[in-house]
Amino acid sequence: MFGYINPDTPYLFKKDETLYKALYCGLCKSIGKGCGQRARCGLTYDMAFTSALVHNIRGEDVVIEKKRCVLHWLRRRKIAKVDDISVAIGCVNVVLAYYKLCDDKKDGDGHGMLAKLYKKGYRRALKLHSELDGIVRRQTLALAELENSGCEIIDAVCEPTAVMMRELSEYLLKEFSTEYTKRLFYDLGKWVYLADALDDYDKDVKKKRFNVLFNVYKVNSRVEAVKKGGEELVFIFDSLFADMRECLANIKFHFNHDLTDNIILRGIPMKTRKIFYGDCKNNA
Amino acid sequence: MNKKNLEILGLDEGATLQEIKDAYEALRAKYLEERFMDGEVGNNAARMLTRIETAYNELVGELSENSTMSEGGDAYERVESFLNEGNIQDAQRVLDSFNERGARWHYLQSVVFYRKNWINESKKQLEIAIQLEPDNEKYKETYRKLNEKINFDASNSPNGQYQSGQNYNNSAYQGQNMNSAPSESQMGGDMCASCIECCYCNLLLNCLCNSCFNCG
Repeated sequence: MFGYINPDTPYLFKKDETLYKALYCGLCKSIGKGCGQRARCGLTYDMAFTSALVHNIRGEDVVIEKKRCVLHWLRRRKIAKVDDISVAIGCVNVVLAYYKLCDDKKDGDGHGMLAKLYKKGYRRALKLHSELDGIVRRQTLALAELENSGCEIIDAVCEPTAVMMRELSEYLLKEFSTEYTKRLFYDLGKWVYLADALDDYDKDVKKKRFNVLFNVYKVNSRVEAVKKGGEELVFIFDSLFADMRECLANIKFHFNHDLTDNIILRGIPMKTRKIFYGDCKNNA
Repeated sequence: MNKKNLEILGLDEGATLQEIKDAYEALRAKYLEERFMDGEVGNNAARMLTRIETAYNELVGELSENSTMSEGGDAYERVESFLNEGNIQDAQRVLDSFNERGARWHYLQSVVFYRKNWINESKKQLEIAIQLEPDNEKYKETYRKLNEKINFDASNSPNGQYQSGQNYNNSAYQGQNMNSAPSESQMGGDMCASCIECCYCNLLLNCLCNSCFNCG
């Protein structure tokens, strides 16, 4: 479920690229500080996006410094200074990654073995932010229950992931969380789940794993599913994009929000089209 | 009342609404605390939370259905008042307790789904409502609005922050959807789309050249 949130790079301003990378490096450092070195390897750019969003909505500026790090010791890099928000988001990343690895382990995936390596980081993350575990665990179990019951309602299956994101946003934004921020994160969670289901369609069918889209359309490949459920899926995605646009227009930002706008308004629809139509079509 | 549900809450047949509420709240508080614990205890607490939630919902649903019948009150109105209060859970509970499901039921269910942001399910329910009552203008109007929603344009937002910004007049930042395509073609070509074409051209040219040289 990681790695779906990407910017539309040709349309990304240089300044935002710098910020994006600095936030990523900053998070990596924060994880190192908060949860230990081993946990650093599970970081994704999704969290750099979350970090930009949360900093901006909460009105906390980011300080970018030129520093060296273990991985890039030759040249000094622009790195966002570690602060409370980045540590909290680092913990979110570690907890999410740990649960994902445990899930993979249960499914019998090879890299599920990595969960062991992660356990210590996960424990340390909980020491700093104990509420995170409750949020993630409850929704993971809710999702597992829905999967076991063989649910055939697309909106219902997305609910746990979406609600998880909503609750995480409430936790991270605290008093800055509004109806619109909650809805935006809800939509993001739903989108990530759907994008993942669509992307993994063929793999899930092959391994006979739960995939809600297979339950609904009952065909053997993603291409056929897209053909069969085209109109419905396009409606679902388009309504999600519209809702995100509406939320974005109603959220109060403290700084300019070109980076998150690029990702939400362009990156996410682009990624969806890429998955939906296959790699090369319509992805400008 | 459903015996199994009563058992989950630790109650006997004939429990009143207040008793059910009290038992539910006590159990909920207990498991909410336990779910943070490590290992099986925590997992079990999280599982029980869902279970008592369902049991409670079903029991209250049954009770409210009975009271609706005995009082003769209009359950539809109760759904509507719950919706006005923003109480989606109770609205859903009353809806679940209906036996007969007419157009109005599907319409209200569609509103509940909409509030939960289940847009696709909301659309489906609305379609059923319209099918059952094709002449109802209210349903049709709602359906039109629902479809309009997906064309939400940020530049029309009342907030105004998107109107003044220079970026938003730029086509790059208008919202995109599943059918978005570049409005004008890109100088230098769209690498990805033309790479295959390019390969084939090279291949053909190569063949041609080779055959020429062979002839010569």
